[in-house]
Parts: sequence; structure tokens; C-alpha cells
Amino acid sequence: MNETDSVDKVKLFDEKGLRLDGRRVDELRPFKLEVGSLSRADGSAYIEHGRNKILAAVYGPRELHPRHRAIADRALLRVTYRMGTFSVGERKRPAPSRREHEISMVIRQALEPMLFLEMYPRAAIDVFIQVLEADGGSRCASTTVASVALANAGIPMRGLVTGVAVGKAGGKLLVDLSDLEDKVGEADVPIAMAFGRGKYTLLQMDGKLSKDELAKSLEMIEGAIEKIYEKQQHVLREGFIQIREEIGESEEPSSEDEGDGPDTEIPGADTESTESD
Amino acid sequence: MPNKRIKDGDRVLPGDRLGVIEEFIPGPGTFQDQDDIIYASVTGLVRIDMSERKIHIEAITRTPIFPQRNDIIIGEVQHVGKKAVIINIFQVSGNSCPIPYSGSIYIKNAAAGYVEQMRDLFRPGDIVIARVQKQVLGMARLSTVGPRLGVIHSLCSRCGHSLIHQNRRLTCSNCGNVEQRKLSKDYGKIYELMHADKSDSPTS
Repeated sequence: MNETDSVDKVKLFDEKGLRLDGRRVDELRPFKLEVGSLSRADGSAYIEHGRNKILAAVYGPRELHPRHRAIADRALLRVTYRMGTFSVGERKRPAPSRREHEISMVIRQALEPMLFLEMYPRAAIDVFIQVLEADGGSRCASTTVASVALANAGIPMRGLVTGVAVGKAGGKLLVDLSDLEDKVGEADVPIAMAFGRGKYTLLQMDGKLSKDELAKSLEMIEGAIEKIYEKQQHVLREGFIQIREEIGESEEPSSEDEGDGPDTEIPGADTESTESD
Repeated sequence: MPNKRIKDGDRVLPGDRLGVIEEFIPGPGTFQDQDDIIYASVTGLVRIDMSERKIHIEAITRTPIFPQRNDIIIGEVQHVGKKAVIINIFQVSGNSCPIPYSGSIYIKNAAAGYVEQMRDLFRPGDIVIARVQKQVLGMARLSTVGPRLGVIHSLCSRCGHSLIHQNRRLTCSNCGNVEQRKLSKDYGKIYELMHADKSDSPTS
């Protein structure tokens, strides 16, 4: 009953079967990813995914306060997802809402299995996610950007986590729902995946999908996740060249010159020189 | 990139496949999963030592400061047991350690000769310089064997004033009490040792 109503009200597809923003059903919104956007954070990243604009900052591992929350054999991962008051159409009240608490939790749970938390007992790793502008699928975009920020912070990881939503709107399965498709549609399934390892770390479902539809949507999403995963890798590699150049400026080239050296002539051995001082 | 063979000097990201366990011994910045494949866990350059068949990643990002094998640490004696002492580490290789981390010195690794009991070498509150031997269960195993390693600052157990090393004896500056420690050659140079470089004050 609900679905016929919504489809009647809003037209989600044009004559050619394209979506409102001209995408095919399995096409992603345009996205942009940046690393090291914040200078004072230990690691940071910024994503624009559709109209989502999200900043992530990572601090730590650092001393945990309050101390009683410390875990004896591993670090505590704290994820805070917050939306700016200006991030949505109607002003969002600044207090953390139930929804923000939930999203913080699911992002934490999506990232946790990919981190080597046991390397830093009793410490805390803080991830702050600030949504500057929200569109559909902000929890997925946040997961993507948080995992890049963690890699940027040099925190050992099993792999990068990539998030994309899939869902059903206007009777069709769609990849990467926009805000409107999410609101009007029948189902929304945010998924986060450690693509390199082939493991899902987040799967939620809001609305109704049949078993077959869910299986189908998991298939559809692989391509989209792969695309974002490649972008994550690309951007980390690029940031990595920048870092190498910074090191190259500040320190003289070291003697090691064996196998490395395609195009950049920067010394890698920065840790050794600082130790000897 | 599952098909590409990894070479020395390659740039890798967390989760990149480096090889199988038969090829290399995984070192820092790598890990081995249940599937017997070695992956990278940090962003950096691959370093392969073919003579030892070891692989590790030289991180290109910031690396969280954390006591690792062969690091020289400075810490405070928290507890003295009969056979071991527990140390709170607050400085690692000249950088202040952001995480509260503890280590232990077993009696065997405290001094070169025979040691009757640990009370003869350390007292709670002593500042100690030590070397990390290995990591066990989120704790560092430390050693103070060596002339430069050992206690660098200590207080009188009777009156609490600092002990001064003179005439090969450790004497209290206030009450004249004579005490015994496993001394480092650098005893008394605690300020110089802790502020040797840019690291900020370890007491926060």
C-alpha cells in the first residue's frame, strides 16, 4: 500500500529508465576523496559522495579517559558521528540524537574487526566524523572516509572498509540511494565491506526486500564497492607521495638505494635517523 | 592486486597481499591471516630481506609511538616483587609514550651477575632506563643488563630525599642512608636523558 502511494507521488525514473539525477540503477553518485585534510589530527580524510560532505578525524592511540573504561588487552575504539546543524534542510538540533548514537555505533562495529586493537592495550583510538552536508547514505560514506582516515593515521589495519547503500525504490533495485530515493523508496540496505578481504562488516536493512532481492542487491553492490575501494587506495597512494616529498625536503637522502626507486627519489628510512639522535 | 608479485620498494596499503607464508617471515607492518597469506597492515614501502627471508613494511605515515623490540625506554618502578618488577613506561626511544604501557623485568634480566632478590636492585618510584626484549600479552619484557641500563634516579626509602651517587655509594642527601640499586652509568642525568630531544614533558 505504501509503495504504490509513494511511486504515484514522486516519479523516480524518466522514460529511459534513468534515475532523477540521470544515473543508471547500478551507478554511483559522483564522489571525491581527500586525505590529510586536517593538520592537527593524527589522521584525517574528507569525502564528497553525492551531496554528502563528511570530514573524519582520527586521534590516537592515546591515553584513555575516563580510565575505568580502558580494556586490559586492547584499545577502545570510539567513533563519534555528528551532523552539523546546517547539514540538513531543516536546522538539526545540536544535541546528539538517537540516530547519531546509532550510526556512531554501527560505524564503530563496521571498523572494529579490521583494526589491530590488541596492539594498543588500555589506549583509546578516537574517530570523529562530522557531517557538513547530508544526503542519503551518510553512514556508508562515513565508514568509507573513517577507514581512510585510520589508514592515514598509521593505525595497523587488516584492510580498508568501504560502504555503499543499496535499496529498492519505485519497484527497482538501486545502488547508492540518494536522499529522496531513500525516503520515498521501499527499502534501504546500507552495506560496508572489507573489499580486499571479501568480508561484510555492516549490513542493515530498513524496509522490506525479499530474499531473492537481497541476494540480487548484494551482487549489484560489488561493482560499486570496488569502484570506491579503488578510489580509497588511489587517494592513499597519492597522499603517500605527498608525505614522501615532505620527508624528502626535510632530510637528506639516506644510503639505502637497492631495489626501490621508480620515480620518486625520497629516502624511506626516516625512522632510523631519528632513533640515532 | 592479487596477481602482481611484490618487490622490494613497492608501495602498499593496508590489506594488500604480500605473499604466502611459505615465502617470507612476516615482520612489522605485516600480518598473517588464517588463510596463510601475508598482508600489509600499514601504508608504506615493502622491505624484503631475501637472505633471512623476512618481509616488513616501512611505514610512510606517522607510526603510533609504542615500545618495540630493542627500543630504549624510560619508566617508573611501580611494583617490586621477589622475582620481577613492574615498570610504567613513559618514554620510548626519546619520545613520550602517549599510551600508558607497562613492562616487567624478570630477575634473570635485571643484572649480569647473580641476584638474590629484586629488592636489592629496585625500589618503587625509581626511574629506570631499560631495553625492550619482546612483547608478551600487551606488556613489554624489559632488560637492564648493561652498563648504561638500570636506575637513573631514586629516592631514599627512609626520608624520601634523592639519593646521590658518590664514592661508588648511593647515599641520601638528607639523612645519609646508604642504599643499593642496579645503577646505570648515567645515574643522576635524568633530566638530560628525558629531555634529550623534542619530546614534551613525560609527566602530564
